[in-house]
Amino acid sequence: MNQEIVYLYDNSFEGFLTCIYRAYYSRENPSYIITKEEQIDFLVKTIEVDTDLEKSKKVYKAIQEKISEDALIKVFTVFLSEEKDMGTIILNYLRVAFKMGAQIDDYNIHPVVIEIDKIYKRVGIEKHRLLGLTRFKELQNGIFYAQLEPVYNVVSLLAPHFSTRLNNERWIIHDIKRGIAVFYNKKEWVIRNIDEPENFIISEAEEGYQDMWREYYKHIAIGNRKNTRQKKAYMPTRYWKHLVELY
Amino acid sequence: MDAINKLKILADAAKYDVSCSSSNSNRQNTKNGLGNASEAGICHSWSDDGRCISLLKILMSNYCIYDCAYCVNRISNDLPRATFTPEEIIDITISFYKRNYIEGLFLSSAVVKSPNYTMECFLQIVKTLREKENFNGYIHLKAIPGADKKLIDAVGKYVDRLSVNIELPTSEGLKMLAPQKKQEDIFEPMKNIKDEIDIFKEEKRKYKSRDLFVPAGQTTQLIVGATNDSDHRILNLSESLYNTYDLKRVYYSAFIPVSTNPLLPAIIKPPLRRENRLYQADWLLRFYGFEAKELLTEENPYFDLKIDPKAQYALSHIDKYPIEINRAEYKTLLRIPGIGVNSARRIVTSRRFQKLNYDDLKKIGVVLKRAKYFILCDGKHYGFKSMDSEQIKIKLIDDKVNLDQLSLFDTIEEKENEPRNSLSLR
Repeated sequence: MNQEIVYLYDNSFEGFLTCIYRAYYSRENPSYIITKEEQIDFLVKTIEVDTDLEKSKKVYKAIQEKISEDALIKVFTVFLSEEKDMGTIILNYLRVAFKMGAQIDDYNIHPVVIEIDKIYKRVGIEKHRLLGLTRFKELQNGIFYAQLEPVYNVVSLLAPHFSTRLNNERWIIHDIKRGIAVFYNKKEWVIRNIDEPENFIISEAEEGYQDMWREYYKHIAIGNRKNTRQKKAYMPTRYWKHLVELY
Repeated sequence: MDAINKLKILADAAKYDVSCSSSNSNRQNTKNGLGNASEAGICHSWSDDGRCISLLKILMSNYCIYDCAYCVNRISNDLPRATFTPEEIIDITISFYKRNYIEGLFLSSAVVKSPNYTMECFLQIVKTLREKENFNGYIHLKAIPGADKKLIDAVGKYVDRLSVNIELPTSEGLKMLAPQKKQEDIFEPMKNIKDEIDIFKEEKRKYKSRDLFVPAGQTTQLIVGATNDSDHRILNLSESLYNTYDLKRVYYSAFIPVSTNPLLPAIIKPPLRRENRLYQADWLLRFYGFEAKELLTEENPYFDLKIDPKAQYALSHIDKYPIEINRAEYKTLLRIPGIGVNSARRIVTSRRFQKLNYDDLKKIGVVLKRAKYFILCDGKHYGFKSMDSEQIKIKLIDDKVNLDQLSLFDTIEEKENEPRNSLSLR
């Protein structure tokens, strides 16, 4: 019996695509494609795959051109899920998709499509939720600062939305769970690692607006139609910690 | 009075308007501007009643000159009153927007002094927001019945959505409960708005004009249960509103007794389930290709509260079922209980690749415990051989649905999202 193989990459999308390249052109069938930091079983054979920008670019373009733009977005989004089996789910999907081409986008009951769509949908839902549930505080220096703890690594999916919407403000969206943040300087956004949040000083007006928002939140509900279950269904309690209106 | 206390009063006064949607507009941000609209709409929070909060929904003022019996703000009602200054509304809107609390502003008002005066205040607010503050977020404005056409046309250039609330489905109801309002005053602005939207669309087509006029269209609201109008009358009214005035949405609001007026029925609990049935039927009109007359008739003017309107339709036309899902057209698939717009689409695309069986339908997301009585999968039927509608009906009644758990109104527009819309890879 062949020994199980696990690919290790450096946490970047490019590194991940390099693994896809290797799996595709070698005859290896990795049981997992995971980052170097993740815990692994002693019995498996690990292969560290060095990130190769040439190879990753080839895979990137091949998905775009031989399958479709939608497929590329799907692969990237599912990559951000950080689910342990995400790597093999993408690999299995791509093996079928490269054979079928753009048609795969409609073949929604193919087993590999069902698998990848499950994760794709979950990440998409969280991203969409956070477009609404992100809360900025105005700091003394005029920057709008938000803290999140998303289940999936979605800050890079939120960035384009807020850079169009708040294009004339400087803002930061800080994923405190992963220690990363999107910084926007009125021109472009970048993602950087960021340590413990410093002691941010909020602007003078900030608390006044937070109070107004809390009062608004209280008064807009219709008392005799209370429905906490529905509220929780749409807005799971794990997000409440960072919502001004709920603390 | 300071702004926060006004906000308490004027949010309280606005909360009975059920519309919250921020969808259907694609207004873009400008170079030094603030904000844009999201076509699909975005919910920013959910209040204790389970409703989505998308827009800052407030009244400009609750000092009303009218005395409509169903309305909390009627002049004879003893309650705290307040009026925002335009500056306060603008400041709260922009500050909330920058903090990502809201998608924009939904501004309504009691009729202050006169309909024209109220509209003029609105105009000043929305004009300042757009032109001086460069605000490009969503604005939904209430058009005040009885205001001049030119004022309504003027605000239309600045807002994303306009609505005129009908509130009472028939003119008899209006005469009894809102004697100062006339039904013409409500339908006339609707017609004007529609005509103006058509003109702008035409100009856009012909001259590639980029001017906007109410890009998210107009909506209205009907109160259910304050008068004795049947579901049949209400649904027919909605259908004609969609057809005649191109309305984007009709909202239904179960009547909540906010007063003890002897003219009003003594309702203890709002008719939530009835409201829910009307929403479901409304959905069938807009997305499922149904006509009102297929759902209800003069002889049978109410929806069955035990089963949803589509199931009610299917059971009374049981001879049209079962339907073969591998062959039926898209619009026929939509008539099967348990199959929604999404699963119908997925059936149509998937069956190009392979014949679909019962298990495949499960993967597609069809609700089989409802659909199975009405379908054939490659010739096989999984329901009752007899196709006896009484027997099927028993299976479709869901006793577990608790009245309290009914959604106030669906938020599907907000829920449906396409992850690809705002994703860029580089």
